[in-house]
Amino acid sequence: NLRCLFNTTASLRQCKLSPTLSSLLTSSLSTSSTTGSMHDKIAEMVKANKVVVFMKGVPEEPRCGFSNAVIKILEFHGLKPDVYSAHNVLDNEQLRQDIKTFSDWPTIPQVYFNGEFIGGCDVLIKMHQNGELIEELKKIGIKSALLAAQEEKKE
Amino acid sequence: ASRISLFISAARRGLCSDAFAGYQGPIACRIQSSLQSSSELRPTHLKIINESAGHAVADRHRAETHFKVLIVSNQFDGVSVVNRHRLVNKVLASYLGGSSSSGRGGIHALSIDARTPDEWLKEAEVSGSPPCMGGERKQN
Repeated sequence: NLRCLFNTTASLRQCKLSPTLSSLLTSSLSTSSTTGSMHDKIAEMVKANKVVVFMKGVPEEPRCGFSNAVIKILEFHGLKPDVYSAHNVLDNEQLRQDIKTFSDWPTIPQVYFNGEFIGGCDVLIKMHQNGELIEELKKIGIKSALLAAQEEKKE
Repeated sequence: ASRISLFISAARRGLCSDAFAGYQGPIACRIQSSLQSSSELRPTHLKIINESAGHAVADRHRAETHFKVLIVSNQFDGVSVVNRHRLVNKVLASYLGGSSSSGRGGIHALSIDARTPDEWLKEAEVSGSPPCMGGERKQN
């Protein structure tokens, strides 16, 4: 949605632009956007889905062991790529830097549940080991596949 | 000659050989000292593990790009995992700067294992980090 990108630039807010001009401005916005405008964009990205991941590479082909671990843990709990949103920071250097200042967290990957920062790879591993991840998923209305499997065993 | 070499290797191991693993360079030493002297953390046990050799970095056996830190502290009691990591991140903030993929100006990755003394007693082991997946190098 191109309009939401323009929201951060007051002067463009009132403009109705032709598709060609819109796409030209979008590409210039993404290459020359300031940290402020990127933070606004990130704020929207983290709320766009229940589970949002900022990673290196894509779920089908992670480019970092820590990012891969996050994807695998989510998969373990039944979350496939079609259910969550994944953003590849290797595609956008501005995003790669500004996501760290946005969350005040210095590394990638980063996981958000309902717009709230949960943690990186180590945090997710720990939460997976101690059962917290199942609880956090429950809070956002997602039933972990592990929980379903446990309940099936009991029956 | 054998006595001298024994002495040299003992000196190289240092007084607290348990405090480090992997290549122990200047950054590892500074990380150790920052954490050890931190009044917010006051660790009772600390181990700095250099994991750089397992990653796609230049001169990986002497690189200081990827670290794992095991830190045991009473300060973590009642603190969530993510907030424990935030405490450690804060102390190590100056090492985590650096804007480029090469890690210039800072380390590239920091893995944190933050436990209370009780948790450390229950399981006195640090697991390794996930294997490298090549990073940003273009795959052929």
